[in-house]
Amino acid sequence: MRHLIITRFIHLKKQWFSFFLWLVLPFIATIIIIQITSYIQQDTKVPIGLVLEEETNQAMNLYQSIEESPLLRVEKLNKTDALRNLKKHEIDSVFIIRDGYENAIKSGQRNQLIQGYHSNLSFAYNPVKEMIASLVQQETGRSKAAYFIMDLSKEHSSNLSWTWDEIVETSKMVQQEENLLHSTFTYASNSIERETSTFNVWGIWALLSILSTMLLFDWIIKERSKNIKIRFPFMKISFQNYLLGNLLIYTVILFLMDGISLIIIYQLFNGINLPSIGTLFSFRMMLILGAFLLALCFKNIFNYYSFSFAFTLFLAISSGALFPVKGITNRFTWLEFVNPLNSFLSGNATILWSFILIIISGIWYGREVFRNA
Amino acid sequence: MFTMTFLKLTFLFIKSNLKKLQRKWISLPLLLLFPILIITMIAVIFIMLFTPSETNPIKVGIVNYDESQETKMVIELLESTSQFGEIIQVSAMDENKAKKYIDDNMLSAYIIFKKNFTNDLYTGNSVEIPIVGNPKEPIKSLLVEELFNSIARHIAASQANILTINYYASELGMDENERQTLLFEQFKEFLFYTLGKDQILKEEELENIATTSPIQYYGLAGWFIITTAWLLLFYIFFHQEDKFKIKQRMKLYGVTELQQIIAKIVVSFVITFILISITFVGLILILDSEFMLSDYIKVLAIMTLYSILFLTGLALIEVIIPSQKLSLLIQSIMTIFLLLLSGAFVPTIYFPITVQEISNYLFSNQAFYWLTEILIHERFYIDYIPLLFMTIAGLFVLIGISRWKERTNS
Repeated sequence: MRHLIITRFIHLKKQWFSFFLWLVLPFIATIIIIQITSYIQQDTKVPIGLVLEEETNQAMNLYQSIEESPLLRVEKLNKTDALRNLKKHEIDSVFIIRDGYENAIKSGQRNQLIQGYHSNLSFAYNPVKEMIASLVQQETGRSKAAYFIMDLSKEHSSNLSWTWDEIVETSKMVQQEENLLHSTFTYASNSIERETSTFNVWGIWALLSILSTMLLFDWIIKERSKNIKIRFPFMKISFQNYLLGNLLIYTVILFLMDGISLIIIYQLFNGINLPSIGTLFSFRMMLILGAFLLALCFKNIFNYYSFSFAFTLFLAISSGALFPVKGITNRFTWLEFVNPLNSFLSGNATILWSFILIIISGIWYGREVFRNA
Repeated sequence: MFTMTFLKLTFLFIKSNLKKLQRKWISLPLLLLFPILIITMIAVIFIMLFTPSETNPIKVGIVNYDESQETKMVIELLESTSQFGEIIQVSAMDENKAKKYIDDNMLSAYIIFKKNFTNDLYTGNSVEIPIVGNPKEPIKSLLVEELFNSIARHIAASQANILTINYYASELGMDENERQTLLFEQFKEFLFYTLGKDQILKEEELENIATTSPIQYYGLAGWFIITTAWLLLFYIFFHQEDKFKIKQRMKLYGVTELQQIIAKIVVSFVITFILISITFVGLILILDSEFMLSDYIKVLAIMTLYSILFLTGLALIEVIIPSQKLSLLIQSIMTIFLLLLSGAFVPTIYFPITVQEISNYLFSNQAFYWLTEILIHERFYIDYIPLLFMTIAGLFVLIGISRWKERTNS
């Protein structure tokens, strides 16, 4: 074993940079990807066009409060331009504050004050519509309250009377000052931060681990070449034991690296739930055996690399690590069973695949022994 | 004389690449089908995701500690009406049950009306509505939160009005009991008023752009992505590994790396070009859009420039990075990056402004923009100049760097 370790390190000395790079790739790339996507998500805004058919105080107030929304990028346009831009899909949808808006609000009406235009490419129309409606609703609600109070004072034939403007002002003040109602959001089990919760950090990490493990195992193809293999009959150690010994060395190195990267990821995204040692180890076991057996199938190293990339891409899309695939797995439950990433992503030990791969490795070992005997 | 041998050798490598294709034709269908398989998978996943299934609605629980007339009414209303359409199902339950359901993954989130909720509302105390999400379903949980935030906005506005009414009513000297009934009346009044919020907006769909359907947009986008993937795969397919000794020997015959790279670019381009000129006809037939021959030529011209630029980019990475693994990784990252920013996955108008500005300079974005302009917006005039300049510049950079590399190596 000591000799094996020494030879392995002599091998690695020549390419330590590449080795180190692929070793740290999974967690460094995970961190970078999450940072970039969260930045983009924060800055993503829906572009809408706003047309003001009248520029009264009420209309301008509404325009301002729509513009203040952090989710929208508002462009003030005239109707022809707005509709043309919508047709060209340069904006998501168009909202028109119609002529007579202020009068309608002041007289307590609220029907069809706003006109919304959308095309069949308006992906964000519904939430934007709801938002603008709620802003208008605030105004009309105040007006409604004002009329009710004015009626009330008449009914009581009191000598106290207030104007519409006064009452609306009071209502606005009440709402602003008291910060009346708010909702708080928490997750049931533990304190996952909501920013990181939408990204599947472990999904990305798992996919990159698959790619890096496969690419790190190219030594098997390199060292299986004929002019090396031919010397093994004259050595103390048989070829299959040599491979297995090296596999053990890689297992130790990779597992240590996993531990370190998990701790770093845990520190960076606080509150994220950490997979247990058993979960991690069984997942790593599957990766190592899988990469080992796959590499044994290839003779050409470049084909192996290409296959690794294609395979990772395939898993990235189908495993549910990046996109939710519940809609499909609900219909075909066996897919969940076959999916090698499923157990790791749901926090369980990867038993099925590790077991299958151990058996195949055992068969391979037995055959090699038989062949050499 | 020098250019003669250069062309001759380049032609030789082109021929050898074609022979390789002939020899390995069996892997060809795999090569062509892989991108189509990937795109179909993405399409199926997203169609499943955005067609909310009635068998699997978002389930939301409501825990009521308040037990006042008002909250009971609200909950009854939420349970019975399809206020949120078919997608969301609301049901009342106690907190232990809600917690258990979340553990069993039978609930996406639950909200709590705390004790004295209504009383606090009427007296103007600050009220908090806790929303507890299911960590196993983060997207649905956040959706529920978003929804209740907008409901909370409505309630807050109504509450301010009720408080105002309360204030003025006491000014008018109404007694406590009378005011209480008045407030409850008003609470109901505003609740139903809020539910009628849809009257505010008059909706219209622009129908005269019948041509712009998501199917057309994403049909074109899918074709564009598949084409890009073919370019990448063919370029990788023609990868030729030579042992150091053979490389040295070839050098003596005047063979340079550049000739081999150009041969790869030419062959990959020609094959992909044939494929896209056939598949594009199929695309038009499927999308059933009006299309003229001149448009067809325009599309092919843009795709030619795009393909050459993309292949040049791949070649540049191969020349600069000696490690095969690393250069494959960078090539894949470049492909993903170019496709994401081209607008083929998400239309560029939804990007942040800074990202939009960067993506405007990318050739993939330019190419896809002009494709949509021709096919969807039926534009007549097309500006080829930026793409053309980028292609020429790209080729010169490739030649320069490859020459320089060759010299420093020897």
